[in-house]
Amino acid sequence: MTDTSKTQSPAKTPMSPRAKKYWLSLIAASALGLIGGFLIYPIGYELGRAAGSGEMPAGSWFEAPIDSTTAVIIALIWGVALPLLCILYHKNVDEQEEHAFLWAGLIGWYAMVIIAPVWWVLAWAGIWPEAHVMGIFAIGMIVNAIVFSWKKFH
Amino acid sequence: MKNRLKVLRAERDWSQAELAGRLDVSRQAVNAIETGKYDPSLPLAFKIGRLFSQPIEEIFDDEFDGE
Repeated sequence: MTDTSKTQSPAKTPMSPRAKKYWLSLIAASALGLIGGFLIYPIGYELGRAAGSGEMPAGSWFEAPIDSTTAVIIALIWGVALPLLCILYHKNVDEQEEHAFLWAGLIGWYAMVIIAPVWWVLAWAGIWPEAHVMGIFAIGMIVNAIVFSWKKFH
Repeated sequence: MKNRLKVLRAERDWSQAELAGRLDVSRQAVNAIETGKYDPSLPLAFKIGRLFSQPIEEIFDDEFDGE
């Protein structure tokens, strides 16, 4: 084999095309997340104020009204832009992070598959409050994030 | 899987980030391979072999004793 170890230090070389696209996908996804957050913040703030003052119970947040323009923009961000950025991310992520992502996805999926029926059947029996889709989604996302961080950085 | 990546990197006085740049992977990937927490794919293992001018089996040890 030819010794390629004496080449120019990569610290002085520009970021690879793969790494550029990888970071572009992350930065764009973060920017879209911020936009979505800014759009929904006034609604959340108002709901928080109402809950704090006793005007509405905290448990009714997801039943609160949202204007259709905000809802459509957030739906487009999550339903159209995010999948496109996911394709860009997965085409350019390095293999160790992809490995972490796959495990995180699997365990996050199991979290939802296990928790959703348990919650639903307990709610059916009146033991727990009614199952909420966003609550189950949030659990799946949290489990996903924990497993990803463990596999990626530990 | 055990490997000599850390030794080979140290012989060249490279940081993990520097090696990561040469392999076009993240620094976390280099760290995970060095500590045996992640086994690289065959393409990446070949790339590592080419970078250090050594065959894969000189760098990675699957601890197979022939039995």
